[in-house]
Amino acid sequence: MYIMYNPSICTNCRRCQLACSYHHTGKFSPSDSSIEVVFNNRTGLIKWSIDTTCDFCENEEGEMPYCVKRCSTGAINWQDEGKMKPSEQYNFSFRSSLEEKEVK
Amino acid sequence: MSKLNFSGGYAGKILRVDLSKGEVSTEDTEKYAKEWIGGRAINSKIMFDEIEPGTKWSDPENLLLFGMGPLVGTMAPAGCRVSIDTINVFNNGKGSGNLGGHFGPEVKYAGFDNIVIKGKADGPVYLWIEDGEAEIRDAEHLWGKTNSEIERALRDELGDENIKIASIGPAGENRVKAANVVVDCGRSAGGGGVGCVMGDKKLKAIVVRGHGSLEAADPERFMEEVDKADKKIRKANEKGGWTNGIINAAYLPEIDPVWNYYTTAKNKQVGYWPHEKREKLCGTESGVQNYEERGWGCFNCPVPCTPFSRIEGDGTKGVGYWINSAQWSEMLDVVDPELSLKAHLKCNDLGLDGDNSTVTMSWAYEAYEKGLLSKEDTDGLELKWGDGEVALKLYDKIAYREGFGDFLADGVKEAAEKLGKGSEEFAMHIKNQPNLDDTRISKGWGLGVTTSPIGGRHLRGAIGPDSHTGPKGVSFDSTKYEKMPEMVYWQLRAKEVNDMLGICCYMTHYFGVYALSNSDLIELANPLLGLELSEEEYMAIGRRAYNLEKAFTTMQTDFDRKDDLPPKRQMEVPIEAGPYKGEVSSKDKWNDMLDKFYELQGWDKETGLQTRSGLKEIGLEEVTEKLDKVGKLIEK
Repeated sequence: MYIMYNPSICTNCRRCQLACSYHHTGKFSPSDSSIEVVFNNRTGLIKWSIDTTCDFCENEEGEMPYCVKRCSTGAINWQDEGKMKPSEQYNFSFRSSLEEKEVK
Repeated sequence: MSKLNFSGGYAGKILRVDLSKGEVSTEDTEKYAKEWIGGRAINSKIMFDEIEPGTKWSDPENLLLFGMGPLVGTMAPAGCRVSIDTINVFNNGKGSGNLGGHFGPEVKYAGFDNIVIKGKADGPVYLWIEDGEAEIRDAEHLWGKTNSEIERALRDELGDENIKIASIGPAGENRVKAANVVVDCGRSAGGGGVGCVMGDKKLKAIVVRGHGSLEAADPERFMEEVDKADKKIRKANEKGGWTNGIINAAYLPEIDPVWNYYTTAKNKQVGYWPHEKREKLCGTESGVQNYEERGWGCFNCPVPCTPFSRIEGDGTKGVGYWINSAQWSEMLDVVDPELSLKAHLKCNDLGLDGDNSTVTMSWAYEAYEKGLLSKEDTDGLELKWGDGEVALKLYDKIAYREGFGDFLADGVKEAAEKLGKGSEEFAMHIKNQPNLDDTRISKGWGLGVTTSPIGGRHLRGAIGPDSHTGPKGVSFDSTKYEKMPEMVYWQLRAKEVNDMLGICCYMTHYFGVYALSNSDLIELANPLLGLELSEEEYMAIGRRAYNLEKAFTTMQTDFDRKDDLPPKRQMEVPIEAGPYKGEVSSKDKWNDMLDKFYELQGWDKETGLQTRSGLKEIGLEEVTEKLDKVGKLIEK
């Protein structure tokens, strides 16, 4: 499975972080999330990354990972490995390089 | 009332800061939350209890409070709001502003539900908060920086890109009364001059980093309610919502009742701004939305109403464009969307409240038009309607109190009193605070604004012209007077619930996408807090909280019934053209509305003030004592 991220429609609301922390801990805390979101209010750039603690919400009910479910713009999406098609819109972010824009 | 036994949702502590003594301490949130839930209601309670009658906004005894309700920082959609409360710099009554962004949740992750700041520092300081600890630090090197400069400086200094900042700009430092508090470089709270108080206390910023967590009393049930709320918001967004379209929604379709919401052209002289001008400012072809680079959301918000904007080529960029800047355009008759956007970004960067500064500026334009001010008075600036470039220069002058800017920096009422010559007649203020809201078309909006205990402003009982929620059995036409007192009385209690919980009102019954009803909020709050309160019980707490604000303002000012009327122009000059031609705020009918409104509140009709029996009925005996002491309690 791949989690994918489209930086152009992300609004940096960080719902994904909260959903992720709830999966891991049953509580709400961006620090306990597998996702990091850093945004620069002067440049309008967002750095979004996901680390190896992500387990794709394997043990959770529902058809998609929590971060995908709670994303309100569709900036986060997922695909099964076999079916994956490269897309111009999404950066494949898990275990592959994420386009990291300079946030300064 | 019986105490609430909650078991989730809170960070747990209130942070107390004494800037005069240089001390910080904490206390349990529970002490207040058991009766007042959180957010603004707790702020109001602490203010009423701890501020002695007669205290002025600039006294060290004045408090500056930040309140984050229990929904803030949880999965509840748009649970991110912060209520900032203090003594109002325009009238010494209750002052209050509200903002979103990422600051409030971070404060909760750092362990605090409210921050209470007392005293004044000797020199510039900032407050550093991290994981249950707080420290007052020197800010000499930050003094003078604008709100966008300070984010970069502090992130570099502290070596952390995830710190969140609430700061004041040059306007707050210079104690300009229209000064606001800004977070995320572009989300602001300016009501009551909260940024002016922060500057007076020499507090440049509050900087926070939190790694803690928040827990629901019943996580599974809470998340089920979040699911339901998400679905409703998605549906509302599909219907058009506000996402990426706020300006269109509010300004373009002439048949929409929202269309002529604000009728403030040329300092409300005209009451109508022609369609061509709106089209140029907000239309899809040339309008301000073309400068939107991307949506820029507040924390956990599925309805991001604010863009990150950029004007290609000239380096202009930043967080925001907002409806009050469209009003700035209308007030000053500036049709150029680039200037409107620049005005918005400049306002936030300098730390000026859009509403309060726009009203004062447009008064100056009108005085110039009428020949009461000349170029000699305005440092050579020609204040001609439509000249936005001049207005941008004027913003700088106001923020730095330079020349004519200093003349305007204490607000529209003070400026008009200084100038005289009849200019008081068109100084648009309510209870001395500049007021941008019009009252002539939507009477429910107007009644909520004019009766608000925080000196005008619309974030209390105002009814949006397109609102479709309210008490059972009341359907209404917002241009009519009938049933508006009932609607406003419902709205102000529901809005208190909204703000004590900390969810954004653009998600709820108040305005915006109208996705969540008041009962939906209760469904979210109960499993979070571990309570089983009814909607009526929450509304009762809301009524008490509103009465606290009213009592504070009554205790501190001489305002009474006559001050609950709209500005004179809005009662005497009808809308000149357009689909709402002829609409005006009739004084007689306004008085009828006030009679009914006071009756619903249990207040005295003659004076518009609170009565002993009315306060007793809602269990606010402690309020009667303090009001009685200053001779402001009506014995009925």
